[in-house]
Amino acid sequence: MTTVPSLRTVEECEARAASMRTTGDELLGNDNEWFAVCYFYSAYHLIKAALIRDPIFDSPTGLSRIDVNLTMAHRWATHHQGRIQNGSRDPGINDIVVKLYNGISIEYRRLHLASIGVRYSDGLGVISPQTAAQDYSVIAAAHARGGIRYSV
Amino acid sequence: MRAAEWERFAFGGLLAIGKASATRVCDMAGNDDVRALVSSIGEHAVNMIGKENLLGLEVFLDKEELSAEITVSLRDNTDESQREAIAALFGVEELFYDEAVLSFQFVDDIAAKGDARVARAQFSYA
Repeated sequence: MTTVPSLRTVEECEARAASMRTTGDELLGNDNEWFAVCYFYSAYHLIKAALIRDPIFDSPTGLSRIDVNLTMAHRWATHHQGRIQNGSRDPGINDIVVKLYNGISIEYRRLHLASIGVRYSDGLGVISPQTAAQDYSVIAAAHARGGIRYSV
Repeated sequence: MRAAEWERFAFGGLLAIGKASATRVCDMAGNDDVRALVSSIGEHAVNMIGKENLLGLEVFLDKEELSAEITVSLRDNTDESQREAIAALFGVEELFYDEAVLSFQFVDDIAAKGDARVARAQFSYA
């Protein structure tokens, strides 16, 4: 499915997320907009931890009821964006968050936009630092209470 | 998104929508399917976000990758307005789920991005 190196346990993902959060906190404290990149990748690894832990990925029929393109292998998805292959979609992390974790999907996507803006464009632009930080807080809080998990 | 890979299309037409707005559908490739897809993505995005909330919206499609970049300029960039726009764009994403991969970006002023950007637009609402 991918050649991108991927952390394989919940603990590894959470440790990486915590490390990126610490760096993000420091950058935010220094008014450095690269905090949004660190916060996004912290959120990314929290999502990766959720995918590893979420029992929905043990149920092919459950997954297909949500999205016919979702398979058990998507537990290990690494690419952000989906892809169109042979007339159907190979879901990316962004798609999976919308389909499974709708309660944080807007925050996750806006944080991704903020990260892209900082890395490739003019910076945070119209996404305020307060908004980006708040989006991350929502995702981190959901993780802390075990809330990043698919529920009907 | 690799900008160099985006197809460049010349201005192809002007369709008036309402009194103060216009939609340009640009195509030199003669590819009706691509033109129809871009137009449909753009029209749905404009309608689902709401014209009253938009200063402008552009769509670029990489027809090889079947990925489309939607650039949105909102009248109001508050947290709540952005949330509503993203929710609307999720709806557009779902409509075209097996046809194109959409990415979004919010900008303050599309026109300020310059002529080169405008020339790339395959769908533009302003």
